[in-house]
Amino acid sequence: MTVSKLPKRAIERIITQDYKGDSVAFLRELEEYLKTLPLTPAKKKHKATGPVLIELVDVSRRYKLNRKNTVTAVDGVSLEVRQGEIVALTGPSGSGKSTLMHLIGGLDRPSKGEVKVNGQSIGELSEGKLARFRNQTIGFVFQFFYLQPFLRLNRNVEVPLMFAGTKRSTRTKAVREVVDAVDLADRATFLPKELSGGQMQRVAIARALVNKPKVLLADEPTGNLDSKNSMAIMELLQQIREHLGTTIIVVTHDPRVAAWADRIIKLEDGRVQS
Amino acid sequence: MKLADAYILAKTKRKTRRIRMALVTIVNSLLFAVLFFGAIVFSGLQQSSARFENFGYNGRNISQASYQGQYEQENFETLQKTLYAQMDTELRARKVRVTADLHNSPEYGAEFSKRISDRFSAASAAKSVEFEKMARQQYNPSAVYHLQLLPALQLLVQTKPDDADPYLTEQKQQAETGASSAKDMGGYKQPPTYFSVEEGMITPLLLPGESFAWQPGQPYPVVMPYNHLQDLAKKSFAGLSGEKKIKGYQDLIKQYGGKTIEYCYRNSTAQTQLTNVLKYNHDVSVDKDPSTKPIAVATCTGFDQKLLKKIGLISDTETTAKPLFPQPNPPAAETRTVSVKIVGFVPTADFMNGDLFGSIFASVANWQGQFPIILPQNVVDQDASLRTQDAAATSPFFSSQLYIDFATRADQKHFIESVSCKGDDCYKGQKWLVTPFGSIKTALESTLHSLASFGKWVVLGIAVLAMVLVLLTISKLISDNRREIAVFRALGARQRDIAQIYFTYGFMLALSAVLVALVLGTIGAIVFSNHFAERYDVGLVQAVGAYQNPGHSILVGYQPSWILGIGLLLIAACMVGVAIPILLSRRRNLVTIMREE
Repeated sequence: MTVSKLPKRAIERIITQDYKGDSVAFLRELEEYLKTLPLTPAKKKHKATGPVLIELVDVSRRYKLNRKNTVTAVDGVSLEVRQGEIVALTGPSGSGKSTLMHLIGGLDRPSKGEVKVNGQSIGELSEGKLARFRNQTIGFVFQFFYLQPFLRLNRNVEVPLMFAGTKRSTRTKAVREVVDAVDLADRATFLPKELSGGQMQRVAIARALVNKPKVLLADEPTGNLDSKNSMAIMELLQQIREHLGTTIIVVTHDPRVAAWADRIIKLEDGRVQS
Repeated sequence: MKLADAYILAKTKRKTRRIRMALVTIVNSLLFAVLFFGAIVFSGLQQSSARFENFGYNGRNISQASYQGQYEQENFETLQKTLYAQMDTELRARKVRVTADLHNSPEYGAEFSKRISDRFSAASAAKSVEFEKMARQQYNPSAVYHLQLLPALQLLVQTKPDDADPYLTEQKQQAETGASSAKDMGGYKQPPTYFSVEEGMITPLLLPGESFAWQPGQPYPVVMPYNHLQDLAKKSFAGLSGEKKIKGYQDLIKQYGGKTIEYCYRNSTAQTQLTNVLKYNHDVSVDKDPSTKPIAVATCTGFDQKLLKKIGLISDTETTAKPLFPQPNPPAAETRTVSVKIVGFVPTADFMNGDLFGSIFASVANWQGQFPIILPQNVVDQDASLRTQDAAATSPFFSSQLYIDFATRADQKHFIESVSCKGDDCYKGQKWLVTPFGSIKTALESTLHSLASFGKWVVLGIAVLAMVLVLLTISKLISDNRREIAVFRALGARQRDIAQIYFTYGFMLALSAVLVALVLGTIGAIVFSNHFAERYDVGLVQAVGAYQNPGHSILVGYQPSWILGIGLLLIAACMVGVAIPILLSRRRNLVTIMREE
């Protein structure tokens, strides 16, 4: 552990001089201090230089609440995300984060404007093509994982391949690769109930990656995890970006998680704040 | 999406909804089991009955031919009015006050019945003559018997003195309790069919030019009603079941079939009847079978007076009341012995209603009268609507019956096919109703046919029920799983992939129910067969008058086309039940589901 490499003498001195030998008080204050530090190690921010993969031009999405009232969840948003970028979408609840993510992921269509992902305009795709698009280009990760409780880990990961109609031999290979990548190869035949929360989210990430998508959309991926697991997940996402060059969009309202991103986009009332 | 994948995903539905799945499967399989049970037992019945095909009695080819004519309603009513007017006039001439009560009295009814039957018997006789003529010309039968019933044979049944007569017991009880013994037949007293001797049971048929010409010393051919055989059986082996009972019946058939029996009679009614029987039987000069000719009538002594009283042939006390209509003086009492040769057995109403198999045989009996049952003439309750409100009215039907002993089976078959009526025609007096006496195949086939046509509706009903059940289950399942569906859609599932998963699930549900039902139905059929096959055997042996049982009945049979047809129909119905909620669920918005938290 790197902690053991800390200058032991300096710490001893601080405890004896400033805390009068009360190491418990020292530790308590140290813990408080550590909480103020960002979860990210002080790394150099990645500067994405790839082509623009996601392009939103003046996108709005309105919902009809009832006959008279409509609500505008996303209001004239324009943004660009480059390939290999990690972007955090933050903002208070009801700010339109999820709607924006659904629009990018092809679960929803814009009321106005254009959403272009990988050169395809979402609004123009048919239902069947949209499903294909979600299957091949997008990988979804959810806050509550949404694994199939009665399918074993590798089967759960296989589900998108089932919808893609992939050959069985290719499937086994693809599944093994992604399960290896999320470091769960030894638990490949476990049921979700036998896994921890962090492991389940890794399974969900493996499932999202199994079709080698260009974009990974994570909706509050750490919302249901403790900080240690959250860190591990974010670290995993960074590794994925490094190895696969996947563009990752993380919806979160946790600033510590957002700190991992290359870029933070703040939303409020459906508009981009920064 | 591949079928195997759809199966993997559908299988998890089964696990998540274990209890509901089990319940639906159980209810569905119970419903389906009813159908499979029916189909299995039905083909078992068919197979068992088929064994009796061409299983004739005693190697003879006897057919019962009956003619049932219905008088035109208008004519009958006119006739009724005329007869009533006549009777009323006679009564008024004797200064009897004619009232509505009088019209409703059994005596008035009896007189009317007698007068109307006198008129109709002429027509009936003419038909019989015509029919016999045709039969003789075309088929050259061994013999033609003009018997309807030989009531005197009932005396034979009564020779065990300690036997309790249920009809008389009932009458006695009713007399003690003061209840009316007359069954409500629109006020007309229904004549007892049990151990009673009724006027008119033997049709007085005298062929033109024929005379009373049987030779003394030869046995007289009769057809023995089956209930008498059954009564004998009751006394001989009551309480026995299965094998022993069948054996008993076979023994009785052997004992009486083709044998000559002697019996006595001494009573004016019985005497008249017997005289009629002897007098108006077949033309012996044409009869090719010498063993069917009548023989001696000798004097019989030591007749059991108690017995005669018991069965009502003579009464204990003379009626002091003056009869409403004066009857002709009865002939002087006489005691005689007659020997008869039993050449056939007729299943009768008592046999139908009594034991075994009641429903099947009774339904055969009611099936347009194709079953050779002999009922007392003129009082047959053919159609309640035709019994007029006037209490004294009798049924406007007439009938006449013959037994024809064909020389060959082929003749009999041809005869039946060419002259026999079908369905309603039998009651329009246009054709004869001819049944192969000695084989109940035709009658059974009709019953099985009617069962099958009824079964069609049961199958449809159950299919619809199963469809609704599956529909409700799948709707609930889809609504419970809408988040999962949304997640699948996010992972790239198309609408058809989702539909495929639920179709596969529905198919598993239906298929498992069908398979379980097939097993349950088979078990049910085996249990049913174990309980009823013996009784069915007895029934068939009795009905065809078989010397031996041609193998035991097994009421379990599989007709591949039925099993497959029912199975496919039920699965199809279930799939319709699956399709509806799937189609409805397509309209759900993905985003709204994802937002539900």
